Amino acid sequence: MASFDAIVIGTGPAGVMAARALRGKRVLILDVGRQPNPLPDPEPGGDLYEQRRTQPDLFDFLIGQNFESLHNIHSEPVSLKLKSPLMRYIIDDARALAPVRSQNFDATMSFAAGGLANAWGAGVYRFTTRDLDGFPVRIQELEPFYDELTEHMGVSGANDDLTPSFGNDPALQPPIRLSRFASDLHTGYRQKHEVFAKLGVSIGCTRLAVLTEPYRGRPAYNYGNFEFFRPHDRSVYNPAYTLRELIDAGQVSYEPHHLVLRFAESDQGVTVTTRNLLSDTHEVFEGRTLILAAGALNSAKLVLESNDDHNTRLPLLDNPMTCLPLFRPNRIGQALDTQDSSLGQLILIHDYQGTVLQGSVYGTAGPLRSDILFELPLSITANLAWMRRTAAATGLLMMFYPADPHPDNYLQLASDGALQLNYSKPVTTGPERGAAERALIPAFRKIGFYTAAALCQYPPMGASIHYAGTLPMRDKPGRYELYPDGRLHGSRNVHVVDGACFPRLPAKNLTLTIMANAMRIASRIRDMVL
Amino acid sequence: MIRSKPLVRRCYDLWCRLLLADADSVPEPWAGYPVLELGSGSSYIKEIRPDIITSDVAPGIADMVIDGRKLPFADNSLRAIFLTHVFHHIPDIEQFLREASRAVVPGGVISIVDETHTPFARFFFGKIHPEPYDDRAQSWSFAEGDAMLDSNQALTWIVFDRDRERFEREFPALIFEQRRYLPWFGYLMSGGVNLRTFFPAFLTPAVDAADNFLRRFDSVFAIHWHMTIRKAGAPALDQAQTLRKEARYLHSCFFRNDPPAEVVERYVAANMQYCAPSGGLMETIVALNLDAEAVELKLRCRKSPGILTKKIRILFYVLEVRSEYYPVFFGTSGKDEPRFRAVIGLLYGLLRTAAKYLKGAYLVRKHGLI
Repeated sequence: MASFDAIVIGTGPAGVMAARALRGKRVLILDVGRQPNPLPDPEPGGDLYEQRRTQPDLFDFLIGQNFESLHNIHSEPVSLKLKSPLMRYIIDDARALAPVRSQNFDATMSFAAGGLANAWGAGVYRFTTRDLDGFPVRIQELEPFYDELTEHMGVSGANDDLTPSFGNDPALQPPIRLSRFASDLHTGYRQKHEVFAKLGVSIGCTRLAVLTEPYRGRPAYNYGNFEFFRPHDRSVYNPAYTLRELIDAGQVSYEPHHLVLRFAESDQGVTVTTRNLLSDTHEVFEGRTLILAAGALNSAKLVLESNDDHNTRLPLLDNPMTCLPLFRPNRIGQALDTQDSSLGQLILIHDYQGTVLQGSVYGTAGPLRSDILFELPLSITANLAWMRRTAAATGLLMMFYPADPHPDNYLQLASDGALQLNYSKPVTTGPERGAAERALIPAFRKIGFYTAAALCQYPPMGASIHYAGTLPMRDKPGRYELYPDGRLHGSRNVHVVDGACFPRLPAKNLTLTIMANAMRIASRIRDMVL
Repeated sequence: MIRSKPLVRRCYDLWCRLLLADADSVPEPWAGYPVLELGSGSSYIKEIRPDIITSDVAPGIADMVIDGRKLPFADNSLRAIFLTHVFHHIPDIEQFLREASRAVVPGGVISIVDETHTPFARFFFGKIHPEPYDDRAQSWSFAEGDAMLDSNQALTWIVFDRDRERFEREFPALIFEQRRYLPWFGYLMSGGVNLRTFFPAFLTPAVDAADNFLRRFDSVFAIHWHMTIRKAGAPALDQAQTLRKEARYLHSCFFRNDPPAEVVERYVAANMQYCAPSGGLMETIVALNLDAEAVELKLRCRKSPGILTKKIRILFYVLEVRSEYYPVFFGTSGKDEPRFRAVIGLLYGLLRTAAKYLKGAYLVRKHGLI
């Protein structure tokens, strides 16, 4: 007799939302569950720039005793948001616990409680029917869960020009305050609306799982601008909060320090073998049903491991992206806008030749200046002079492109247990990267924002960290595919609820839909299976 | 005399710091050995470092009465010899160099502050200043007479620049290590040690700013330089010492003041962790006093960022977390700058980049840097 109704693997957005939807059942969550390091005492207050101006020395906080922030100088680059000393727990040990081999894919994984959402941008965008093209799921099946998520997390934003793309959400908190740069862009867009409409471009406030008003015991965002240096404060939603609520309510049993190795099905249900990282021994857990939520890469790895399959190549999806700097000459010489938080400021939806692209506008106040000191092709003192004078006049437009499965983009289990990733065909559908950006440049020029196509950068694949599609849902699944109810083909009690489900990846950030889909699948398991 | 005039004092303080840094660069085993100052006059360096032996040719001024041509010290017994405006008064400089080279420990230094040979210095010392300045003199010596006036203020240039080959031939034990220009505007405004000042004391901070700005015209206007001559045979520096020196040198390429001690130590630690060993390129740059900004730009344009870019990045990372460097990265006091001034600043950045690129290209070719 299995001791648990369901075993959930992973505490990222998918895992905690699935566990939450299984209310009333005996649920076990298995997780490595790395915790953040304690914050420095006294904790830096005010905003980052006030701290940097007034505290004589912030070495421990910004760079770290072990020179964590210098990471990208000497080893494989990681996202600027993950390298600072207090953020390192998010990816620490990931390479040791889940070795990856790849020539052309920068895989970022997390074994922290809450997963990669510890450093997420908190963008939460509802899919539309068009976005769900190719999914065996209708929008009506997700909508109740979208509403429940808004209610659970608290979402700020506005019902504006983007409502057709993001859906109407009546429960939104007011949007975050825009930086002066983003506010200029927004105003310019509204004044020259027809220019952008002709291009199929809408711009609006971003929707964030960030509170702008106190909600359910959590405070409003305080514009401290610490996003790159310490874990979000409680104004930004983190799945670890939901995990804590579930544990405190006695709704789940939580077993951290377990690295799941494999699972096996039996007549009674599922057995899961783990390595206990504290005692370095193997342990076995039994449950009636298994819910994989370890992330698109690791859920796929577990399925392959459990089948001892080192030959099959599973599809791999990630949003190709571009990064285009925007300059606002009117703001040259102005002091850095310390209200320019590192959260996304505006969202741009671009219907370009029948393909929907999503852009996010960011400021440049977040990272250390030394992180970006060599981005301009000038001498160092000239670079410093430019950075000082253009900080308030510069923003970044990150554009995300959709992805479809392609035989050249795959994941495979190497004979030594490492994940072998290959992504040699970045753009699989729609336009090549750069064309849509070129089309936008004249429109931006009309509202006083300048850039050049030559400045457009193409980050390596893997950089967007929107991994998906390794175990896709289909109406009629084949091997290593899922039924629309999340059940793995050929199994009775194994379900997958994370990004692995997505048969294709629209340009729109997928996290909210991962959560809603996990709730959909778990609710069905609760009602129909258990 | 020096103390009563804040502007003179300010120049003199900087000179003292440079001389003392030279003395501190002498390798570890000789840390306790004495430092001799020649021709102390009204110098107050002893107040900064009480263990320095001061001296003068005239009795009653300093600890000892010493003529630079005969140093009453055993072989290999001095850590450093300081000469502030003294080198060009020594009548027989070859004899002094022989004596100094004998008395100083291996790796010890002769640290000199003296007059330059820039176009302005040639005009100023040649036409205005009462002391002789003869850059055509063939001989390194001059007749001994009135000690203050029988001198040749062009002597450092003659010995270490014009006649460098002869110096290297005759004194193989001495290595010309580095030379840098000293701030000149403040010194001129102060009227020097002997003249009345043009400036009231409260303007001293403004003079600092002007000095910094005018640094870019050093090669035309500077009137003093600081030179370090090191006796060969020093035991090899250990890695940390090499890196410390490197940190100070790189810092001096971008800033006038000395870096805070924490910055130097963090630079060393980060390099030990990530970048060691430092490699031949850095050694050449530090030893030949090359403009790191220019060389870095040229090398960065040529290929993906190399060791020099990496090291400069490390330096800026460890500077960035210090609030005293906040203005370097974010401008002063968080205020807006008038736009026309900002645009001029941006244009100036472009010009500077072009100039640094050309200079870098020249240096890279001349010294075969890779």
